[in-house]
Amino acid sequence: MAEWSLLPQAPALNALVELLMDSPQFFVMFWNSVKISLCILAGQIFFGIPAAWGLARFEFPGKRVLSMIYLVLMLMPFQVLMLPEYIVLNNMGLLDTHWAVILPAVFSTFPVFIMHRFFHSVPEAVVEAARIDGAGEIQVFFYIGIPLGMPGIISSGLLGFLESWNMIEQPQTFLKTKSLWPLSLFLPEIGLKEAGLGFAAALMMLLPALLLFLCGQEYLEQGIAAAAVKE
Amino acid sequence: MGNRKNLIRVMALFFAFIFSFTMLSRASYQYGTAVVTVSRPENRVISHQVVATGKVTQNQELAVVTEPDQRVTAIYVKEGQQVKKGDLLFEIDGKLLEEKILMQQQEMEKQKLQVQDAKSQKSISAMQKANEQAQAQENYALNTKDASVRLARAKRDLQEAKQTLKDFRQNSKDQVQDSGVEEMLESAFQTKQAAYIQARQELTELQWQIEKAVDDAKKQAVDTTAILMADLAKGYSFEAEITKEQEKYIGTGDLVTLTSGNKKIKLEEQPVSSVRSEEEKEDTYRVTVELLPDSFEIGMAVTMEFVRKSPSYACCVPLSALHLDERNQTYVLTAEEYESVMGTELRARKVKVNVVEQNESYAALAEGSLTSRQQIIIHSDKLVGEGSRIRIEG
Repeated sequence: MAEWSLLPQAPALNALVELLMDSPQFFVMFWNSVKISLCILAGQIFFGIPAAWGLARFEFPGKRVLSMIYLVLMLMPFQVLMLPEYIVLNNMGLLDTHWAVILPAVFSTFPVFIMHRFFHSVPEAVVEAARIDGAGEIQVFFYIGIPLGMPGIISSGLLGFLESWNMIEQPQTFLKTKSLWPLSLFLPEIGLKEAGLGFAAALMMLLPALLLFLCGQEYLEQGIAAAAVKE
Repeated sequence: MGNRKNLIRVMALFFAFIFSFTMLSRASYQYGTAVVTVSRPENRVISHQVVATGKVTQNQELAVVTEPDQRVTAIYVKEGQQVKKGDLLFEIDGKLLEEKILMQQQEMEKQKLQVQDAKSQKSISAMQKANEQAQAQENYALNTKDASVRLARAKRDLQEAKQTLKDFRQNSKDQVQDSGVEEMLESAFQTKQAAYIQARQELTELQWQIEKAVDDAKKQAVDTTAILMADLAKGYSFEAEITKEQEKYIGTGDLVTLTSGNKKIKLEEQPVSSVRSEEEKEDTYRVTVELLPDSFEIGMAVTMEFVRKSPSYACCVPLSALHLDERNQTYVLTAEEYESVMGTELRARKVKVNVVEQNESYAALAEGSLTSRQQIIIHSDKLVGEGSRIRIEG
């Protein structure tokens, strides 16, 4: 039976030094994770914000059906979507490239769902006032929608980053070449004998997510507070 | 706001830290990677070059000998000089010779006198010896006669005693006799028997003779060689020593190239007359090449070169690519690609091979050992083993 103590019995920095100095594989995977996460974040912002604004502020035929589809897709686990995605990506020749992980995540419905909630809470009076002042739809979107919906955008961005930073299933399914693997696949490669190295890697993996969360915490709180006041 | 700026600064520092350690860890990784030089198996002919330096020597030589204890006063020839019949070679001291002759004559006279004296001594001693021998013969005859007489007497006494005892025992069966008489008769018989044995032993000792002759003669002849001359009429030849390894590739009849030490004279396609082993030196062989007159000077240092070419082999590798493992199995290390997190990398893989033939620089491997596409590691800056990470130079 394993015995654990609250404080370490013989603290040492060997594992950290070994990770930082003798494991270039860790850094390759780290930068892969950064690349994948930033690309997904950028894509979700680029495609998700207009989609959320459109679903939140406009009425068009088939809006309910489209919203329902978004909801259903959001609820589907990866195991259901894995095979169709594999076939499509294979046909597109994108398998075993980072685009195989980035593209499906860019068009994820979850950020749209979160931002839609925040865009829907933008007061109509503000938008009307802007239209009266002569602002077009684009201007309303950029100067009214995005600033007022920023908490939602940052919240969805933060949650999207955390999701992509910790992604395991998609890289494992679509990436065969080891040099393309993200950091989330580094730990499964380490055995029990290298537990110290594993813990050091886990600490290094946590830090960017933690720092980003601390940066965006205020927006998260604002977003939650704003939603509560509006209601 | 200020808090967020600090956090952004911290994040920037974190990424800078990660970037710097990315570089450091890569540098450390490359430091541990061996840099190797590779080549591919080639189609080659394995040539064996036999090079040996030897000397031109005469086939026959004549020795001009002086008598012992003679002194040479002048020498009129130098080493390497050619001479003909009638040329003066050297001069010996005539005065010393005359003194020696006189001394020898005196010695001879002395010896003659000693011989006469010895002869007369010999005849006297021969006579003495004859007398002694005759005396010894006479003594021997007398002693032998006495011993024979004693033996005959002892035998007669013994037989009488034996008969008396037999008669007494015969009579004792018919009537009771005195036991003391029987004991007395038996004692007498035993005494006579002992005396008979003693007499016989004495006679036997006189008849033994041991002869031993030892003749040890030793003869020693000593003479002094003053000058050795090469007989040019008998021709001359080139001789060189080669090792056992070299002997495998050169034989009688092979055509060799001979080059003089100063490289001014070069003779090609000279046939080898013989290759024989040296009795005094183990694993050494002597190559002889008969030379035409006036091709080289006697005593000249000459270099012999011969190249034996093997048939063409499809798979030849440099000798530096071969290694031996703990089981004395020959193997080579090939560069093999593999996929890792660091991308496509190279590692060394051990491939066992069989060497068919080799010379000083290349080795021919058995068919099927390696393909022409495989890259063989021929040199590395670090110790490389099975599975070691490598990088090809250049």
